[in-house]
Amino acid sequence: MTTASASVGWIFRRPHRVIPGFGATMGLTLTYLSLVVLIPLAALFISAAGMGPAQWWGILVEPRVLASLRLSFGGALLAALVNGVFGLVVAWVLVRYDFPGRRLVDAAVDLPFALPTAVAGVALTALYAPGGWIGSLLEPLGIQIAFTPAGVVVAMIFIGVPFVVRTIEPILADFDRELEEAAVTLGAQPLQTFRLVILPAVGPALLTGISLAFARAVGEYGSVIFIAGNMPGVSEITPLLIVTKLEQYDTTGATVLAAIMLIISFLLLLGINSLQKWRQGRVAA
Amino acid sequence: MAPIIGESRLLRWTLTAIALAFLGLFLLLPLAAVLAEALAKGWDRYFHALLKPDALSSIRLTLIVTAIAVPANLVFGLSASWAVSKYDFPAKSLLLTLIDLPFSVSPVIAGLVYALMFGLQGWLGPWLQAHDIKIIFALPGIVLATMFVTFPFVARELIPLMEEQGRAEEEAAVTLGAGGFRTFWSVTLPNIKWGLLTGLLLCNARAMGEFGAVSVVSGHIRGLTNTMPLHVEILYNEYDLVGAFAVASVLAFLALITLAAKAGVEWWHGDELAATRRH
Amino acid sequence: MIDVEHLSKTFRGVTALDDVSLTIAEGELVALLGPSGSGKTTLLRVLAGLDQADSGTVRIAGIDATRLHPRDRKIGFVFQSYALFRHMKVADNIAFGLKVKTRSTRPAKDEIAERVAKLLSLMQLDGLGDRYPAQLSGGQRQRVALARALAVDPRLLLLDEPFGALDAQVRKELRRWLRKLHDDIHITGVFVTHDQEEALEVADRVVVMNKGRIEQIGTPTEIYDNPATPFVYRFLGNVNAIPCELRAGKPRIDGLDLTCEEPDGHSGAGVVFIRPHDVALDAPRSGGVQAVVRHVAALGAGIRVEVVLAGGTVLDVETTREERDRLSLRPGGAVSVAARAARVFVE
Repeated sequence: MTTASASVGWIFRRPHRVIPGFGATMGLTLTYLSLVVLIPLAALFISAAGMGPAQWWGILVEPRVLASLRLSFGGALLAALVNGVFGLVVAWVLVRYDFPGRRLVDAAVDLPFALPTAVAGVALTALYAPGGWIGSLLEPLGIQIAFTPAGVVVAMIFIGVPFVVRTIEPILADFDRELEEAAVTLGAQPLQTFRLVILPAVGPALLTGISLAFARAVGEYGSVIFIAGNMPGVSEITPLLIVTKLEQYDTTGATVLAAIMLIISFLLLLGINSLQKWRQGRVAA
Repeated sequence: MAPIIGESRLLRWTLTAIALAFLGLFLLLPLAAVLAEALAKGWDRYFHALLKPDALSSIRLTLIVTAIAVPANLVFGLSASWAVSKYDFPAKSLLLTLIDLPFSVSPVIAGLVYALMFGLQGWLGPWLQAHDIKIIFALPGIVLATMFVTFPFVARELIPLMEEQGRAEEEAAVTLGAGGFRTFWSVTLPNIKWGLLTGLLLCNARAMGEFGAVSVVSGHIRGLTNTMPLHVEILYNEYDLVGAFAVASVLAFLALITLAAKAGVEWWHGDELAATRRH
Repeated sequence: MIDVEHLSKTFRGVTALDDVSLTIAEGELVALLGPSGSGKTTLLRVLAGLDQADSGTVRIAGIDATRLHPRDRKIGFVFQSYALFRHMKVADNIAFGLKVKTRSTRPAKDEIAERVAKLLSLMQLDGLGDRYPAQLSGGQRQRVALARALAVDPRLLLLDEPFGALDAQVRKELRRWLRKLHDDIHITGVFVTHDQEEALEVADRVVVMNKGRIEQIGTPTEIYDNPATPFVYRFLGNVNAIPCELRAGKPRIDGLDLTCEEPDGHSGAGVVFIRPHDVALDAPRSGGVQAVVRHVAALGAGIRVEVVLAGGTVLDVETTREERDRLSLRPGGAVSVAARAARVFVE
C-alpha cells in the first residue's frame, strides 16, 4: 500500500474497503472538522490577510503589542524550561522509585489538565498575593510575584506540569534496563550512566514535552490573567491584549494580532518538529 | 525492577523530596487555597454563596453547554477514530494534525474566530441580526466555542487505542455478515470502552472549565450567559472572595472527581489503555 | 579464579538457584548449559553482580565479591540482545568503558582511539567505527558488544546466550571465532547457552544445570561419555531411555545382555540409558537379541534405524551406510541387537 499511487488513483479507483462505513465516518469527520475548526480559522486568516501588510506591520510594532508578545512567548519559554527540568525529576521519581502514596501523586499530576483555568487563576493569585500563604513569606524578602511578570510565569508553570511528565513517563518506564546494566558493567558512575545513556534516550520526548508545555502556555488565558496584573507594556499577555482590542471594537487589531500569534506559534512548532525528525533520522533503530 | 545504576540513597531521597516539593507547591497548595478561601467565613456563608440565583444559573448554564458539547464531540471523536484506524487513505497525517489543531490555538483566539463569523460586525452578523438569531452573546456561541476547545479530546484518546487494536475483529465481523453499525456496536465499542470513558472524562472536565474562549463570546450577562468559570471571574473582580471561591470549589471538586475516575479506569484497565499514552 | 559456594536464590516463589557451588580456573572458558528455567542466566548475573543471591558467597580472585557492585568487579558482560548504545557510533560504544573511568585512571584520548582501533581489527570490524549500531548486521553488532566488553581489560568475560539471536550459519562461524579468540587472549570466560552443540564445541568445561541445580560439571567429553544423571543423558545427544526391572542392581530388558549395574544394588523400577550409536547391529541369529527393523531413515551421512525387540521395546540406532548395506537393513527385516555400553539409573 503506497500512499503515492493511492493518492492519484484514489480519485479514479474506488479501493475495496472491507469494513463498511468509510463514507459515513469520513463525511461526518470532515464536515464537523470544517464547520467547527477549519472554516472559523480560515475566516480569521482571510480577515487578517485582507487588512494588507501595512496594517500588519503597524500593529506588530506597536510597543504594547511587542511587550505582550515578549511576555507571552518569553514567559512561556521560561515556564516550559522550568517544567522540563522539574518534570524530568518528577517523572524519574514516579517511574523508578517507590514510596507510599506514589500512585496518588501520579494521578495528581493530571490536575492542571482537569482543573478549570479560572479556578487555577484565582487560586494562584490567592497564594502569591502579598497577603497570601506564599506571598506573605516572600514579601519581607522584597520579592513580589503576584501582579508582576513573575506571576505570569508561575501560572504558566502550573499549567505545563503534566505535559513534560506525561510525555517522558512512558519512555522511562519502557527503558531497556540492559543498557543501564551494560553501562554499569563497563564502570560508569550513576551520573555518567544517566548523562550518557539514559538522557539521550529521553531527550526527544523531553523536547516534545517542553514544546507542548510551551505551546499551551503561550495561549493560556484564564490561569494567567488573575495573577498577572495586566499592566500594558509590563505584565499584559497577548491573549488579553486581543480581548482588550475586541472590547474596544478594534476588531482589525484583534484579528491581525491573533493571526500573528498563530503564525509565530506555528513556525516555532514546525522548527521544533523538524529538529526532532532530523535527530531521529540519524539514530533510528 | 530495582534500579541498577547505583545512585546513592541520599540522592534518591533528595530527588524524591524535590519532586514532591515541586508538585506540592504547584498542585497541592492552589487546591488548598481554594478551599481555605471558600470556607474563610464559615460553612454558612459558603452554602449561602452557592445558592444565590446568579450562581445557580451559572451552574445550570455550564451543565447545559456541557450536555451539548460533549456528546457532539463524542460522536465526532468516534467517527474520526473509526475513519483513521479502520481505513487507509492519503493525507492521514494531515487529518491527524488538523484534529490536534485546537490544542495549539489559544482559547481566546478560539472565541475570537466565532466572534468574527457571527458577531455583529462579523461575516454573518448582519444576516443573523436580520433574522433575529443570536449566536454571539448567547447560548449557541458558548456551545460552539466550547466545542472548538474540547474537540480533540475524545479522538486523541481513541485513535492510538483503536490503531493498536487493529482491524482484524471488525473484518471478521464483516465476513460473518454484520453491517457497519452492528460491527461498531458489538465488536468495537466493547474493546474501546475504557479509552472512551477516559476521553469523555477529560472532554467533560475541559468543557465545564473552559474560560478564555467562552469569555470572548459570552458577553458576560449575569444570570444569562455566564458559565461557572465566568461567574468566578465576576465575583472575584467584585471582591466577593467567598462567593468566587465557593463556585471555584465546586469546579475544583468536579476536577478531583474527574481525576479520581480517570485514575480508577487506568488502574483497573491500564494495560488496555497503554497504547494511548504514547501520543 | 572464581569460587562460588552454596548460592541459593528464590524469585517470586520459583527456585532460581538451589545450593550451587563451582570453581572456575583462570583462563578457562566455561559453558553454563541447560534448558530455560535452569538457573544458568541467574547464575551468570549473580556472578556479574547484576542480581543478588539470597545466600552463599562469590569469590573473585580470592576476594569476597558477593556484595560488590558490578561496576567494581572488573568484568565484561555481553548481553543477549547486545544492549548497544544506539545513539552512539560503534567506536564510541567500544570506547565507553574507557571514557567513563575516573580522571586518574582514564587513558589519554589518542590511547583510547588506538585501543578502539585495535579492537575493531581484532573483531574484524575494520572501517565500521563511524557507523551506528542500527546500520550493522546481527553478527557485527554481536562483535561490537564483545569489543566493548573487552575494551576495559576485564579479568572475567561473561556472555549471556551470545549467539542466540543469530542464524545458524552465522552462529557456527562466531562459535569457532569465539573459541579462537579465547585461545588467543586467554581470558577467563563464562557463557550461557541452551544449545548443547555450542557448549560442547566451544567450552573447556561444561556446567549442566537443571531447575536451579548443577547436574554435572566436566569436559565436553566427560559429560557426553559419562553422564552423571538421567537429565544429562537426556539433554545431551540422543538416547534410548528404557524403563526396566531391577533385581539387586541388575537390569533386565527383553533379553538384552546389559553389563551395566545400578551401583547401590536397588531392586524395583529403573531406567536404562543406551546411546543410539552404542547399539550394535549384526546379522540375525549371530548372537545378541533378535529384533525386527521397523524403520530406516537416511540422515545426511548417517543412518537411523528403529528396531523392535521381541518384548515390544523400541530402540533407536545410529549406524553407517556401510552397515546398512552389509546387513541389508530394511523395514520388516531381522537383525541381532547388542548393547555396547549402557547405564542404569533409578529415577
